[in-house]
This record gives sequence, structure tokens and C-alpha cells, in this order.
Amino acid sequence: MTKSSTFRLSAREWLEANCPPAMRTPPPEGGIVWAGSRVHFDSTEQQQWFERMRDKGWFAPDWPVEYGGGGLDASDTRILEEELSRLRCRAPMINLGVWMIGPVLLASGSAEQKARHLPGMARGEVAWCQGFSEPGAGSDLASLSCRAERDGDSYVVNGSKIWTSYADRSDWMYALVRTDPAAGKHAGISMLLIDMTTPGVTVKPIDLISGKSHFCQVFFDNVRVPAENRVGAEGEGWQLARDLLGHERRAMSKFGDNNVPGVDFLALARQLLPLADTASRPLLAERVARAAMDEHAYKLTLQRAHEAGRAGQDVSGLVASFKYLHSEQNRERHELLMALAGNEALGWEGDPFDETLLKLTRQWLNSYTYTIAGGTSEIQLNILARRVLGLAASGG
Amino acid sequence: MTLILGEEQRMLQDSAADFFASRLPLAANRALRDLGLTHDTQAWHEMDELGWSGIALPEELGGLAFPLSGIALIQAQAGRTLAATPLLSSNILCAGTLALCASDAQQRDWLPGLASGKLRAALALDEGPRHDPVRITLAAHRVGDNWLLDGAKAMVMDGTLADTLLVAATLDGETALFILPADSAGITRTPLALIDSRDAARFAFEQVAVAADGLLARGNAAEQVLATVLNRARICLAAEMQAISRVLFDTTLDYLKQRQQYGVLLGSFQALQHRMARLFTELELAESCVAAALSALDGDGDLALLAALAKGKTGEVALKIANEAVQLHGGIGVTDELDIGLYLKRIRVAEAQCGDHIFQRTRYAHLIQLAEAL
Repeated sequence: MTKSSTFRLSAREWLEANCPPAMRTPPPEGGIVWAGSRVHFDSTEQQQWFERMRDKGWFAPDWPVEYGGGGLDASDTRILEEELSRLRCRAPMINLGVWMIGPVLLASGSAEQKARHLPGMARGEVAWCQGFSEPGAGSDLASLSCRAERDGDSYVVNGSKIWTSYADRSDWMYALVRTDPAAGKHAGISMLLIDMTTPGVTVKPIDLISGKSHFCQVFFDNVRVPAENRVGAEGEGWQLARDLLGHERRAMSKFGDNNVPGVDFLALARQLLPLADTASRPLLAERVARAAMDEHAYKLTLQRAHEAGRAGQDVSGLVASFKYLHSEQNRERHELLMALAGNEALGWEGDPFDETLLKLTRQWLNSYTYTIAGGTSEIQLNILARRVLGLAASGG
Repeated sequence: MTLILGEEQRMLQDSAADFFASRLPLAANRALRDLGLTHDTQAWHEMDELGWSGIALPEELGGLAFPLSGIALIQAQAGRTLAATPLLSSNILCAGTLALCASDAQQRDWLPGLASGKLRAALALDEGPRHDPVRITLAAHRVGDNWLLDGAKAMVMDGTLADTLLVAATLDGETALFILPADSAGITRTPLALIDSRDAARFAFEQVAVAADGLLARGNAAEQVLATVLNRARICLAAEMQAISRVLFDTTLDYLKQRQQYGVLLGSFQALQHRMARLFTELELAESCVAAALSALDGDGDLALLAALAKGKTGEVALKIANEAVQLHGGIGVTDELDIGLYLKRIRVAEAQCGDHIFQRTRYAHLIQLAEAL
């Protein structure tokens, strides 16, 4: 038996013994544990799954053991991911530390930063949030203006970050700040690690059109950050952020189908179609079929990219189209379900409305965020046009 | 189900690409059209010699026993240079039907000829303006030991060149499939000049006598066989359209990188970049549908569902890309000199053949149990 098939068998055995059956179902909205100092569990199974994966080192399976990781090589890590997906295990926790800033620290952090921050991430004890976007810097992220001014051994940070997920539950933030306003747009940016308990940090949750959300705005008022919390050199922040966004795409793909809460489009459409007015029904059914075909084609494309990637083919163009396709198709499906459900989908809350349809309505309102967050659809098209199709950058 | 090609498939694809690039390049096919020819008889013989006419037939009947996806792969490469082949009509539709439902004697009568290319066959099915395999009014009657056929077929692809016809008829209220020589008494055939300059004909059947052993199947068996070979044909057409879409997309992308207006490259305009980026995502979705359908063609996957998905998606995308290719080329895009128009015309025909994307979407809706609402 090869080393990899031995590992696959032992991983499978361990997961079957240790992943509680309740953790092998699609999670409800907000049903995945948010790691950190204020961790909260909805159930014993959730806590067991969290603690067992943590103690196994499998929150960060490919990190060195000395930092609390699992010490697996790339091939065993992939096998573990395949086995997690095969058993339909939920992600044991959400942790931007492990997924995003951790890999950057592993590659570019100082020895002190690694020793100080990585073990807490790998054990899910410290929650991290991302401070990138600002009220004045959305798609054009590099125009950010949150200022970090050097003062002795510290930086003094003033400004604001927006669209920071779970900032209100986070212990630390990794942030892009402007350390040199005189330098070029990109060259003046540095990356800082900021303790969210530092005086001068204020967090305000943001209500969306869909209601409460995990998004927050964070304000910095003369916040003193020790200079040793800067990752890399001054002016290297932009490059580090690009590295980090590469990890983001990998993390999102790990999230996989098992972990996306949502309504089953086709099942709900089938339930709703017979209730629709007879005259409109054929046209509605035609639109359902069209959306179902698009969804089918997208799933096949994910599979094809996976297979082609494994066979060593270049799939960068395919991968670059996923976010655009998924978020746009998701919007379209929700629009269609709204049309099918008609008046019954107009409820905001309350018992008279069907629970599934109330959820649908909130999801429809939430579906707008996916075509905006993490690079708008228009930015995705720019990326496809320029990096994949090789068309020259335009003025606007 | 696997969505990438295996070693043998890639080798076949490469040799098909070489064959069409050297033997039937686009310029040669354009020249054929200018001469009023629908195909290159000599080149078809060369395809026969390569074994392609019998590629998916069993070895004992003169075939190569290659998986059916081989035909789709050849069709795709033929699509790139707009080369006509006998494979869809003779092999997929007619030989495929014989292999599925004919008696041993019937198979011995017809299949070796089809496998060697000595016989060329065509399927006479559609009677109305749109593909409609369930509306068959051409009537078959029993007279003594023989059959008599009466009726008409509106569009028979490869009908002019065919020496053998597979005819879908209605017999005592059931579907029935007959095979007969195309020059049988009582048949009137009218050649059709199509926009893609491929071979096609209209047929009238007046008291056409068919021998007793000309009946291949009737009732459920006939309907199922017809459904199967049509699904296979849809996948081959999807593969061809997808290959053409890619040529058109690449050609248009190159043009946007060369053509200057207002002192800048056309490709630097964001409005055009986004159109191309959207087309790219659609093209890749369609590619995945074709890949899955190729697997289904070889027995791995739901043939009916994936045929509807692949032909529906590629047809829709191919039309969109062809339309954009013409538009983005501007004035030169509507000239006969540019090859874009030749591809556009072929796509229109391939889209319609065996059911366009609207037909396929309706099929898909039925297959995923939305039929009650339709």
C-alpha cells in the first residue's frame, strides 16, 4: 500500500469515528463555529467536532506541528480535504487567521510574529478579521487612506475600515494602512496586525437590506500599534495583500458545496410551479429549466476544472470565472424563485408566512452582496478580459 | 464520469485535426462551395480508408469498435475547418439504428456497406418546419408481404448524396423505422441548396414499396432507438458547434487585439472587454456540458439529459458568439470574404438540426420533471 493510500484510510477512519453525524449535514445559516476567544457552540456535537479537529491539528493540517498545525504535506492535505468532502463534513470553524493571514505570516512574517500568532490561529483561540475596504476605497482598494503614522516604536492609526466581516467578534485584525502618503499609490501601503482591544478602536455592525449582517465598520481614533506588528517591510503591504487574496480563493474553494447554506433551487421551484397561475406557468417553467441548465453547466465546470487541474492542465482561466458565474447565477435563481413565490415571498417576518419563503426572501436580498463583495462582477470581468484574454487595460 | 479526454481520445482528436487541416482546410471547403459542391467525394473515401465510417461499429461488421465519442471528436475537428463528413448521417443515425434494433440478417445486409463507406445513408424524419420526432405522418401500410410508404419529408440532411434511406413512418398509429434504397420506385427527391452549402433534400413518397425485411423496428422499440440515436447525434452536433464557437471566439479576440480605431486598439474598450469576458464564461460552461455528454455517449452518464444540456447550451452559446463575432468585426464581418460568415451559417444549420436550443431546453424541462407546468 502506498503512503498516500495508507493516509487516506487512516484519515477516513478517524473522521468516521470523530465527526459526529450531526456535523455531516449542511449547516443552517450561521451554523459554523466562529473561532476565537469568544467562541460559542450551539450544540455538544459542534463543540466535539471543533475540539477533536483542533486537537488533531487539522484546523491547519498543512502547517508545521511546532505552530499547532497537522504537519501534513500538500498531497496528504489534499487527501484530507477530499475525505472531509466525501463524508460531507461541515467546516469545523471559520477562522480567517488560518485561512488568510496565517499563510502570509508563514511565508513573510518575522520569527516573533510566527511564534506569537500562529499557534492561537491553529487552535482556533484567536479570531481574526480583515481590514481592507474603506468607505472611500472599494473596487479601487489601492486608493485606501487609513493612515498609520510612525511615532517612535509605534504607528498611530487614524481612519476607518468597512465591510469587515465579524469585526465585532474578532480579537485581532490584519489591516492595510497608508504609511507613506508621498509614495506611489501602491508603494505607500503597509500591513499591520492590530489588537482589537487597543484603545481607540470602535466597531459598528452594519444592517443590510436583508437585515442583520456580519459586516461591520471599524473606526480608528489615534490607535497605537507597536511597530513590531508590521508584516514585512514598509510599503510591502500591497504585495502581501495580493498573496493573501490568493489564499482567500483557496479557502473559499475549500468551503465547498457542503457548507453553503441555502434553498435547493430545483426542489423549491418544483413545489412552487403548480401553485403559479396557469397562464404564466409555461413561461416560468421555461425560465426554471434555463436556470437549472446553467446551474448544471456550472457544476460540471467545477468538476472539469478539478479534473483538468489534477491532470496538470492550466485552469487559471476557468478558476477566474467561477466567482462571476456563481454569484450571477445565484442572483438569477433567487430572482426566479421570488417570481414563482409571488406575494408569498413579499413577507419580511412573522408567522403567517412560510418559514422557507421568509428565508428565501432574505437570501434573495442577500444574493446582491455576492455580486459585489470580494470583487464586483465588473471587476471579475476586468480580470478575465485582461489576465485571461490578454486584452489591454483601458482608461475606464 | 470523467470530463477530460483519455489518451486514445486525444490521439484520435490529433489525427482528425491533422487530416482536416491538411486535406479539407477551410479554403478548400470554401472552394467547394464556390463550385456548387456539397462535399469532397475523394476526401470522404480517404476518411473511409482511415476507418472512420465504421469507427464505432463492432469489428465483425467491419468496424473499429472505438467508443462513440470518437465520432463526436472527429465531428468537432471537422467543424473547425467547416468540413462535411458522412459520419452523422451514415454512422451515428443510420448504422447506429441498425446496430441497436436490426435483426442479424438486416445487419449483415447493411452494416458492412455503411462501415466501409460503400453505402451512404440518410435519416428521413422531419416533416414540419422544426425538428419534431414525435409528429410523423408519413404512413406505412401492409400490402401482402411488403410495405407501402406514402407521405413527405421536408428536410433530409445528406439526402441528395444518400443511396440508402432510413425512414421514420407511422404504422397503425405507432412509430416504425424502415430502411430502403434511396432510388426505390415512387420516391421523388428534390435537392436543397442550404445556407451552409451542405447536402440536403426534400422527399416525396408515393406508393413506395418496401420489402418485408425493410422494417427495422416499430412501436416502443422504434421510438426508443430513434430517441437514442438522435441523442447521440445531438451530442456530435454539440461538439461540432462548440469547436466552431471556439474558432469564432479566438478569431474575434485576435481581431480586437489588432484593429485600431480612434488611435487605440478596439480591445482596450471596456464595453467590448466585458462582452468578450462574458462570452468566455459562457463558452467554458458549454465546453463542460460537451465534455459530460461525451462521457454519456460512451455509456457513462444520463444520455438524454446530457444530450439536451449539451446541445441546448452549445447551441445558445454558439449563436451568441457567432452574432457577436459578426458585430465586433464591424463592416468586414458581413462580407463573404471573411470566414466568420461561413461559420455563422453552419452554426445556424447545426443549431436547427435534431432540435435547436429551445427544443433542447424543453426536453431538459421534461427530463427534470417540470413537464406538468409546460
